[in-house]
Amino acid sequence: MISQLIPKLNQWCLNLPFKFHWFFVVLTAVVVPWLTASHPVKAQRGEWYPFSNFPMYSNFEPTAYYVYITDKEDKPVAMIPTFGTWPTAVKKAYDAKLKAHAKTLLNKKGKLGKPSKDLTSEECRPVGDAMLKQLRDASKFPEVKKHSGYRLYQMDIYLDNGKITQKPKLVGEV
Amino acid sequence: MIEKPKSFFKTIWKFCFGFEPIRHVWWETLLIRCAIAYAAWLSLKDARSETAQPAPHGLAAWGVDFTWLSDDKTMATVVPLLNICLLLYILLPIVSTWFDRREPLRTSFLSWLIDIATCFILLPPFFISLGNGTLINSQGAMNHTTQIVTSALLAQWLALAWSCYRRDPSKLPRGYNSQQLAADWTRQIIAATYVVSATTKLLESNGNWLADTPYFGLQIAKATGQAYYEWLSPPDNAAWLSQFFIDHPHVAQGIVGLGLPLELFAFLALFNRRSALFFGIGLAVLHSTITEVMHLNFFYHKLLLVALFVNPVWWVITGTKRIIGIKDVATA
Repeated sequence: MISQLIPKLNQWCLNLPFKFHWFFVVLTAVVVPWLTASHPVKAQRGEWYPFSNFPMYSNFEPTAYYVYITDKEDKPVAMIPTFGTWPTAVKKAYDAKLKAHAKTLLNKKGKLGKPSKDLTSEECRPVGDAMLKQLRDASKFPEVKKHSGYRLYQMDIYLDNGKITQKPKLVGEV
Repeated sequence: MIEKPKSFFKTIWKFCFGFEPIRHVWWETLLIRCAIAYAAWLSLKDARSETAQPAPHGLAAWGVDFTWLSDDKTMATVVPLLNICLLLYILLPIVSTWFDRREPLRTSFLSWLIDIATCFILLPPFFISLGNGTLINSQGAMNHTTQIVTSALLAQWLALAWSCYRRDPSKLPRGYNSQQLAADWTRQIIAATYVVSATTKLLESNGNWLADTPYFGLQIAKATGQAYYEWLSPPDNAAWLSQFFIDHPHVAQGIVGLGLPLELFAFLALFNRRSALFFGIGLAVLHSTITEVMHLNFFYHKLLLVALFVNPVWWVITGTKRIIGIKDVATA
């Protein structure tokens, strides 16, 4: 059975049109995710630039959030001219760190691994503080020195009786 | 012997997906190279703002340091050299075409040498593009803006390298010349990114992607907020759609869900110019809709889709020729 199947499979592969295309499909959908499956950061699994399995918007959930930065007086700060990066990049980096941090906290059952969505403002603080410090120290833009300090807010988005509701929480300060 | 009439379905199928290798003429490949070079130039013309690799990714995880791409002085030297490489990448194959047209048999060796030169010239833009993307993704967050540009440069390089290795153009697939092969492989790699994206959507959501699409409304609200905090200017996206999708889940499934088959079956675009046109327009419209709704740019995707799949100049010229041809027949 298998001895018959292998030549047939071989012939099928030889006849397959667009081999270059299918090679990259297998490479980016199977090989790269398999090779990076044990990466400690979940967001890096399936990614090896320029190869990616493009996981953006692959799973929609009833909650979402983004992050933004203010000065010490809670006035919003434009992130691109100040830190040279986008809110989406900061959110992704913060989210990866937050999930790693949540694994070290106790959940309701008293076991390690609290869902990152359930973290309180105080529990998010170590990650938010570190994130802000990294952004401030790595920025090469003079704008960053205009403010004496910064605050990082997490804007939670969820459904309340079918209405999209947004609620900010302070998660970092430097 | 009477030929058996083809069924209507078979005729339609052949029209849509009959395999007809796309053999570009020289000016089409020139336009394709211009689009790829422009995308590469646009993504690489400035020094990066990222000065460190706090979460090394890809080659950076193997110890390669790309932080020099953020050094203004270094980039002041690198960018002009890069521009020269991209300009030569656009122009050199024209020399080959010119010689080939004059003396096709005597100049095949020269064409081969020009392919080798183009191959070497393409290496610096490719590696800088690779380093640029790796540096961006080494900040702890994955960004998918420039993958398509680096992938296109990779496909171009691989096709030219393969042509140089085979040397004899008759050994290339489907009778392509090196530039036609480069365009074909670039289309194939771009189609692969869409097929993989759709596959991931199905796998990650355990097949529930379509059912969960109404929650896309929350993602619109998120994107709207994020867009504001970029420059503190209100984004001009269709933010009203966020609540609309929650209130009308079937509409959300219909609109958002259209993108899934378009991505999943993107490989059908490779069969002929007509299918390339259909999927090219479909995917470009999909990206434009996402730009409108989510305030995400997708400029490189749209540019390369138009250049490689839609190929509007060829359609205009071919259409015009046909119209003129019909008129000629009519007057004759």
